[in-house]
Amino acid sequence: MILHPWILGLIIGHSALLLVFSLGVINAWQIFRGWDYNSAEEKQFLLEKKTYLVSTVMKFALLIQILMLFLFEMAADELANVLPGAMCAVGTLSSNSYGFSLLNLKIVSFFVYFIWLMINYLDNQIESYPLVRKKYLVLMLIYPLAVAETILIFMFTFDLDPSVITSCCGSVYNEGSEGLGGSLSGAPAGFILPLFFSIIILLLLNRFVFNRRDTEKKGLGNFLEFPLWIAFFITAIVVIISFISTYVYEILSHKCPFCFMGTEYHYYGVALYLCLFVATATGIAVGLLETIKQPETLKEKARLLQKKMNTVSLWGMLAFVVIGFLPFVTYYIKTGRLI
Amino acid sequence: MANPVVETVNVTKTYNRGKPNEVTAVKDASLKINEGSLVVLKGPSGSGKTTLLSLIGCQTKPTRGEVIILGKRVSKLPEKFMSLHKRRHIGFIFQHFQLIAGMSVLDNIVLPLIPEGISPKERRKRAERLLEQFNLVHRRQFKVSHLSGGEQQRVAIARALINNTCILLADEPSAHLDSRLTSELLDHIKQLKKSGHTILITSHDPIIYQNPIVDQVFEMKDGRIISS
Repeated sequence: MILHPWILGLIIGHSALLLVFSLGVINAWQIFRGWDYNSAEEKQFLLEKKTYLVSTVMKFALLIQILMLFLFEMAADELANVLPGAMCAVGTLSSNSYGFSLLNLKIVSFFVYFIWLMINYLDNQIESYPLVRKKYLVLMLIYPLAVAETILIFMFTFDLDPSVITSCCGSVYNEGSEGLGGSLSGAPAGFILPLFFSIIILLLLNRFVFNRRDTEKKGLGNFLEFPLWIAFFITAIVVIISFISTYVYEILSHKCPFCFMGTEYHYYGVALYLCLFVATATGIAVGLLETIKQPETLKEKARLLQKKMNTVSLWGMLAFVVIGFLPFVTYYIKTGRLI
Repeated sequence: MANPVVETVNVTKTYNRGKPNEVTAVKDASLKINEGSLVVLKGPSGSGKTTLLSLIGCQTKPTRGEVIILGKRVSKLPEKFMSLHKRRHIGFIFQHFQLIAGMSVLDNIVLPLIPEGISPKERRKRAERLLEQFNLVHRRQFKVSHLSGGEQQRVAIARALINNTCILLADEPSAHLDSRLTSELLDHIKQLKKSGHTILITSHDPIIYQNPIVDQVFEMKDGRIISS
């Protein structure tokens, strides 16, 4: 383990959040088990008070957990300075076997926490707590994610060894290298770009053609959003590594999806990933909100939120495409050729 | 038959639950108040009148039982919805008026309209009407701390009515008034009753609860309603 402020920050932050989460889950179990909205007994009033506290605390805890994804990347980038061989966050993450597992888990958690926050938001919009039991059930189900994250953060940080030479991004994200990084870097543009834009076209068709038809088909269209946005996210990551990075760095061999998040590239990657994560999270939410049918007041609120999520996801996707392909367009205009 | 506007069903309120100083201020209180009626809760100090009034006024939640206002089970509402219901339907006149001393009469009266997002023009319009109704026009810009007890009482009533609420609750409104001002207060209450307000007053003042304008009197003792 390296005694570094970022490592201490990550360990303390995750431990504190897990503690809050654990307390939230204990209370969530009590609420889940004892909840009876129609009861006017003391126990129910206490649970109603408790749900107000728990949902508020968990809202902030999960918002911080979401932010932790970005803090984790920043920490990994900063730690590259003390690990021999590391040039950016990739070096830190690949210095032991837990780094990328943790990053992947954090990405999954990002979307899961976002969904819980959305359910919580909706529940707080209605007078009769219609989603209380469901939201606490979901909270209990996602608790293992937070536990796994914290365990992995400990394993990852304790296993960091400054005497071990790690790989730099140039070797991990190289067409010739073995492993996922190499495969992603070598994805042919002639395949991945048409696939990426086909998914975008499908999403737009689904939004503007399918969803304008009658209610039943509209419902089906909204359900389709879920797999389409997942596909969008995965292909977008591949496009970033195999295509966009080439034009950001203007070097054919450098395809790191992390380096451009730093000051040298004016935080270009931060803007790019922010658009991607926001678009995907809100896009997935559109599909999930479709499942809410009862009661009518909740359905109305869900549809209103769905509309907002629709708009945010479309603008997010548009921003991602514009920001992502800007270096390519600029390069082409400047030189009149492709890399 | 008139509709019940306010209803409590076996309402109990216990403070400091599980602590040595635990006290049950209201025990299994059930009552119904019909639309447009004037009802008085009477009883000695410590009998639970103010607590019951606070429960009906959505100031606090019961430990057990139900409070139903205008057909809505307010005791079951989450805090923010309960506040919203209170703001829109219930005007409250506190025993010590609870006016904001550093602010003018006008500013005190319009205060409940601010969270409602009502425009300053509309706020002023409504306030002017009430200032006139309660003979406070000439005191509009006075700080409330410079007013007499009777005038403060009128400001408190005006503030309670500014949201066009249909239910008015008053906690010992005559406690700090002399007999002349109490009679003036009763005139105002009479007018409000005539205009269709449902009024609930807590009082141990016979001038209030023995007045012929009162439709019903509930007597409380040791937290229980013992007669009506």
